[in-house]
Amino acid sequence: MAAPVLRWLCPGRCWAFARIGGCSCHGRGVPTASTSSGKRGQSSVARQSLITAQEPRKGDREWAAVVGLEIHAQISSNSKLFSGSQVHFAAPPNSLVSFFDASLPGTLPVLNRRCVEAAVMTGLALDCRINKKSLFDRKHYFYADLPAGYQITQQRLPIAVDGSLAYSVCVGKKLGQAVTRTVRVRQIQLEQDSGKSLHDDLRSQTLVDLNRAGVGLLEVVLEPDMSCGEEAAAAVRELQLILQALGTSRAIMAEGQLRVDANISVHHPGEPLGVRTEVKNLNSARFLARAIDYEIQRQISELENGGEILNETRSFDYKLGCTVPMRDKEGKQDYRFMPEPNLPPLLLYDSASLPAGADPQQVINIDRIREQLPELPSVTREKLVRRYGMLPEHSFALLNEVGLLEFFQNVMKETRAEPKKVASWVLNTFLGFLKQQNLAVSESPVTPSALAELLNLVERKAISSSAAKQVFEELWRSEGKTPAQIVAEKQLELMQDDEALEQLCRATMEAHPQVVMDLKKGNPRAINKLIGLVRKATLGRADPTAIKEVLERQLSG
Amino acid sequence: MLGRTLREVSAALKQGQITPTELCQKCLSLIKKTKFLNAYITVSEEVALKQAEESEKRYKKGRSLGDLDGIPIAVKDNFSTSGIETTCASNMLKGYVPPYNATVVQKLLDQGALLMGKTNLDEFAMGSGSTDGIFGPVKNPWSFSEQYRKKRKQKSHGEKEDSDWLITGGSSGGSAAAVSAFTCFTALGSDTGGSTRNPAAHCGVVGLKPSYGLVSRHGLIPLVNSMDVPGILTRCVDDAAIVLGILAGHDPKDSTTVQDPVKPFVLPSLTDVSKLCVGIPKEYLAPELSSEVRSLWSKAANLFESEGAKVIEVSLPHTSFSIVCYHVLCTSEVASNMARFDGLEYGHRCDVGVSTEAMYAATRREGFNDVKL
Repeated sequence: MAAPVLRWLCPGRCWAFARIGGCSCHGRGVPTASTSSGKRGQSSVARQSLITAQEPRKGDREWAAVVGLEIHAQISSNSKLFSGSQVHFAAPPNSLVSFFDASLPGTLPVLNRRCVEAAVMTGLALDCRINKKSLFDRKHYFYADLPAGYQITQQRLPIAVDGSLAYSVCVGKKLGQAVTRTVRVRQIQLEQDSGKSLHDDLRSQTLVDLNRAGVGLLEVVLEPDMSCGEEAAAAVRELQLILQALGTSRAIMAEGQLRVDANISVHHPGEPLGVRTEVKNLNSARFLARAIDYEIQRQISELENGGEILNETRSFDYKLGCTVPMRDKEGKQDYRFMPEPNLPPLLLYDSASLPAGADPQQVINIDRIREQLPELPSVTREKLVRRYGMLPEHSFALLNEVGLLEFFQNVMKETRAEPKKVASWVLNTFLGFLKQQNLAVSESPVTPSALAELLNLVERKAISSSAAKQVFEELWRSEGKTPAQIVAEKQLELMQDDEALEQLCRATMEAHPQVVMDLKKGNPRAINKLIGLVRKATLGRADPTAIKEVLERQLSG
Repeated sequence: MLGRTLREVSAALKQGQITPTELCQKCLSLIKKTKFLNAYITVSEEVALKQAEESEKRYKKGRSLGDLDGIPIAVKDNFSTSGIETTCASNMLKGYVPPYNATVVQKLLDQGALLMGKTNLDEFAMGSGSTDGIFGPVKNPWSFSEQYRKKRKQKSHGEKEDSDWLITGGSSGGSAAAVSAFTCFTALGSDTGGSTRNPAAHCGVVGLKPSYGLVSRHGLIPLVNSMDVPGILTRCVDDAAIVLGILAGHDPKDSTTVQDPVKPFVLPSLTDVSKLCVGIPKEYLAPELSSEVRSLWSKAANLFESEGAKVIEVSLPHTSFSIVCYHVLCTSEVASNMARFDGLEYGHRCDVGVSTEAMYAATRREGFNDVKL
């Protein structure tokens, strides 16, 4: 998309500008766009470009940003990558530590089959080439949460390479304008997680919890094909959904099961790539895009001020909203990579190469795993669009909340209402109530059956849709009541008696000749007044559309 | 009794000629008498006597576990032994008591063997003399033999007697000395670049280095993971075969052990060597070889030849590169394996509170010795 000069070319909807402009860490680097449109908040790309075009400045050339990601996903498995201790979130400190995890001398790693399967599944889902032979290496550094003084990883020959990840970004302000982008997956590798250190500055000590040490990680390396925070966030979100659909990782960022490091650089289009910085440990979905955009902006400002970018590691300060340098500047760290001598090469097979008489417990067949792959989110969305004629953005929304799709499908099972209507109820009303009270789908007081029953009442025209909203609210509040009960209690049934309605309309018109005259004179609002009066007379139990129809018929006839 | 082979002692135990407890007491008292050899770092007297008691019960019921039931053994101090201090002859692990047994130790204990103690070694098995551990050097029992005494008296006069002793070779010098001095019937050593075979040769006992992958390394505190193997020291070849039969086999805890099943074997009694072809690598005839060793080597070759075997020259052309490759691999793997000794989880820790790095540095400086290559 040819988005013209905006300081920084981002084909997506990059309204992040306006937000970051206020950061005090910036210095002079507040972009033109935000000073003029900052007050307006989000502006579309086109509008901003108009503004800058009117104020040409020196050195006002285009910038392009390049973002690559290293994503660490904790593998969902019963035990750790190389030892039998269990994997649990929030267990008492140092309660899930085997002799190997504590690096007791003489202990040896034993590879966890489930972790290998998880890596293969993820590699297949991301269209990677699965390496039938992969190797393990040691990466050395000294740190309190790394008991052995090295991490076992796959540096030379990882388990999967050369894949791609497709994700969706919104361009333009309207919801319907989404485009699909792809980012190349350089590789997926198996590696150990480290323990956790908690710094107690009060007592000048560091507390080390090794529960997490040795948990299996999948590191997914995404090539620098992304150009802004939004694209990166969208890619991470899609990866999260894929991992969750596969069951290979629960990928919950808040629980540390998905951690992102970003590699960011800027350059003028047509010129070579700039020096990159690494922004580490972006552990919040909310701040991911913000942190990346901040760093992009920081680099642009720095370079425009005549400074230079250091190839350094930075972290994002959530409170200040800016990136800060992280590691000591002693030069690049030498990890002294070495093959892991205690683990033979990892050999995987497919149906063709499987050795005869092989014990199925001892070998992994890639073809088998491919056959049993769960449905991927992109396929699920496609099916929803095809089956229900759903809007693509609704399919995205349904998959974006845990349990929501299942809820929708359960409602669909019990109602003959139009899918679009059901989707609208689920995504707007139902989801709205959930979000208001910060509940998960599983905690919803309204069951799919209840909602289906409600929708059926509307379908049969037993109640109006506005009455339905009232019923829903009541359903939400009071446990155990059925929609039918609530309708009866509140007397919300639509009038079924056509005769009575005809009479009421006639009576209302007779009682209000002034309004009728207004109407005949051509006042458009008069009809609504009449409808309102009839409705009142019916105690709200007549459908406004039906009333209108009767009135119009009576007036013309 | 202490000079018998494993099979002979085992038979004696079965027949009641001697009890495990008596055997144990004999070995323990001999260990005390030969304390000057410095072969043992830890003598596990209580443990051994308890094990002897259990073994005795089994023999009484006629339900012995096998050839090793009730037999005193010793284990090099770089094997993890549950509840018994394991130091690797280093300050770094002084006071470290492992919570688990090495697989090979467990296998021997499962056969009813009696653990006499943990033997001395070069620190972390790095050395070939058993002289570099923090508990001092191991003395070769042959230092106190009549032949050696005579030789010494001829050479020098008035020199202090206890400063003139022979090394055991290493790094499994303690194990070799323990076997050579009859304080146990077999001992576990480890072999990376000759650390079982070298002291075996120096102490005049049998030292067997099993092929890599045959015997589990789980619990063997590693020096070079790609080359370490547990080694077996005995006083005769048949005994070594018995012990190997017990130790060999796949261990799920050690991914580098061979998966093929190991069938128990009995050494054939080789009376006819006419079908045997013995190769002598020509590259091994190094100029640095001592004349004594060279003549013994020739003697052995001639022995085979005179008995009808074919003795031919073979070539191992990469021999000269082996030591440099060894040094590269050894130094990198050792550096890697020593990285875990930082004082945090176990072992020696220096009480330096300035920073974690400072604590690491101080701990490792105090815990480790100088490496003499």
